[in-house]
Amino acid sequence: MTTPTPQASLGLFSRRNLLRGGIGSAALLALGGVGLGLQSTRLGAAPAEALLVLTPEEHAILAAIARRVCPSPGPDVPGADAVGVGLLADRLLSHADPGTAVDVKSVLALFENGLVGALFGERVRPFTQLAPEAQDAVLLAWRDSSVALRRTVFRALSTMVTALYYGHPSVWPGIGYPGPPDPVAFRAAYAAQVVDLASLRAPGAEDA
Amino acid sequence: MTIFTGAHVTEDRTIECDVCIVGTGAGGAVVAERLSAAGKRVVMLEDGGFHESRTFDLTERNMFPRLYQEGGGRATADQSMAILQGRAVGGTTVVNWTTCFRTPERVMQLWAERHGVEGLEHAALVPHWERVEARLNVVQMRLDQVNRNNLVTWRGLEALGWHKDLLFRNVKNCAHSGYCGMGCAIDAKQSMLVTFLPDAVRAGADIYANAWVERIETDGRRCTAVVAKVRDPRTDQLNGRTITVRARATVLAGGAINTPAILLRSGIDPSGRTGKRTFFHPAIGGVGVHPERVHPFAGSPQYVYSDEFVERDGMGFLLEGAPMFPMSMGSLATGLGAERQAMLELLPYSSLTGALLHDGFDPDDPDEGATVTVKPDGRPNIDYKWTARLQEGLRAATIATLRIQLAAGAQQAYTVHGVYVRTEAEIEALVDRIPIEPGRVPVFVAHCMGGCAMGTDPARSVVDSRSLRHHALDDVFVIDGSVFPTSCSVNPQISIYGLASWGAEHVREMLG
Repeated sequence: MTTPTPQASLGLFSRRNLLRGGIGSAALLALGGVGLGLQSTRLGAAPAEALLVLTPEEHAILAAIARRVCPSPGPDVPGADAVGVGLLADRLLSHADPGTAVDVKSVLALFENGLVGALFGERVRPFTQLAPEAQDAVLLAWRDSSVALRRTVFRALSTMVTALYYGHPSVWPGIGYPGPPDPVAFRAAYAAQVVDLASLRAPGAEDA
Repeated sequence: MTIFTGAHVTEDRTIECDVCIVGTGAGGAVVAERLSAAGKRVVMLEDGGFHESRTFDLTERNMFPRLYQEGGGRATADQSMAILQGRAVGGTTVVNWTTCFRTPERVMQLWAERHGVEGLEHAALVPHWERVEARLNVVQMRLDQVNRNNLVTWRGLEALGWHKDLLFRNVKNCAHSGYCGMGCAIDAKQSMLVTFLPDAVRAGADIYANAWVERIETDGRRCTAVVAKVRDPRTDQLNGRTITVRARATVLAGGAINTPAILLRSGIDPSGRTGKRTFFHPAIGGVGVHPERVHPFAGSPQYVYSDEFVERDGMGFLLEGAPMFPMSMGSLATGLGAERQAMLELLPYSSLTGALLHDGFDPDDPDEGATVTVKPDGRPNIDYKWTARLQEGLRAATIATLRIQLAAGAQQAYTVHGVYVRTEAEIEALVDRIPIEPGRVPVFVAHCMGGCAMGTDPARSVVDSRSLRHHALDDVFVIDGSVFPTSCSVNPQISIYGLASWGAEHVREMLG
């Protein structure tokens, strides 16, 4: 499989951000789209359902990141793979502005790229091909980098996978969070004060 | 009249009316209620969906994508600040934490003295605030209502001898469940969704949800059309339909970030100031780990505050109790694997004190804060300028919040970027170890202000403060938090309601 190529930059990689990011960012971006055909992304387990936005390679990169950021903390609590963080991200992106999906794809391709890693003397292999400990080292190197754009990429990816992971009910027992009140019973207990909006809605079309 | 969604709009529509209001949040809803009550034909356009409280399941993972901008993922371009801004019929008022403050008089004085704001004095807003607060049942919390999480902050403030007081909230028969941020499932929160918007609709207004305003069209100093692209509410994607509204007056009330983006997409920026000086109250916090369960997700989000550091040298900040939930805390933390999980496993015993930094008050920096521009595909791009003043303020606020937690009896206190302390003596040295830089210190934003500053000088401002009319357009008003020349230094909803009620009078005057 071929590593995905970064798309035209719309967001994180705007010319303005690139210029402000300095030499490190410029070199990083220059390498982002070079020589990708020589490398390959290691595909992990296929997602449980068909992907709508991400390619299998992009899904594999995201899942590999999520696996290291949010591994299973114990026998009774699922890790990111069992939660299906990659598929959840795909579903989230299917409702997002198309430009957001382009941004995410660009970030994934950049992070995966071994040449980008080589620029910083860290690795030449794609992220998905590295051993788990080496993947952790790469993630921390991006998190703590002196190059602002690398920290930006880390935060973008980290925020997405951790939000999807910790938002999932199956991981809540592991952190002592009981979840919200049952919304139906909760609402029934306060039914008298609920405002009737349904009567103001135009008839004839359902949203969902 | 009626609330329509994108599902109702199966062909292009052109609508004529007295007033087109873009946005249904704190600004737009109040204007709509005022003008509808005055007999004006009002049409509102809202990018977000129409979500009734019966559909709120109170989970972060389902409600953030439905009720927040960019599915809850809005952020500055460098990802250094996560921006929680509402996107639904009712806007941010549907998801805010219900904290109510009037705009401080000292802030409005500074707007007059330093930013050329004339015609809008604090006293002029008082009757508007009184009317709105009565409708929204704004009441001060009692100490016996305060949850464990906020009581920690209260006790810490008390132990340190710092200012403390109880907050006002716009709730009626509140169950104190704590899920304000996911939308109130029992309509206790007196948001625009259940107050001014239904009032406006019953008085004749129409609301179109899932209608993303791409641009306004102008001819000289007049607006000839407001053009919205319609979304399919099932997918949130554009469905190819267009709503064109031709109105005698147009009110832009999309909020900071979105209102300047509409003007910029429309090519309307004669002063070059549109999108500049956008402010966020960048927020940071200290978490304490306590011997007993605190359950920082249970009980209303905010009950207590302190203005101890509002008027300090450098960037001031307001201290408030704040809630913690798995998804938002998990995504702010910076550790990997076991380190991050260990922090999250402390959740039941954790308590959070937050600090809202007062951006926009640096007398020597005319371009403080964020600049909003638009990307080639029309989405807003948000660049926040980190300054030494902000960094010093964030550091001081971090120290203050950690001190509060320790003073309240926390066994240890920490920041989400992984600084753990056990004693006051450790705080400053440990906080100093981590550079306060973009991307290293997660910053959270819930208050979006500025970007269309009001004033009387068209070269320095976007909107005329005497009427909230756009300087370059005779029939376009901007009535939302984007007109603030600085951050307002308190949770902004009441400031916007009062401003909108006042501004509606000027729109009505123009309509005759």
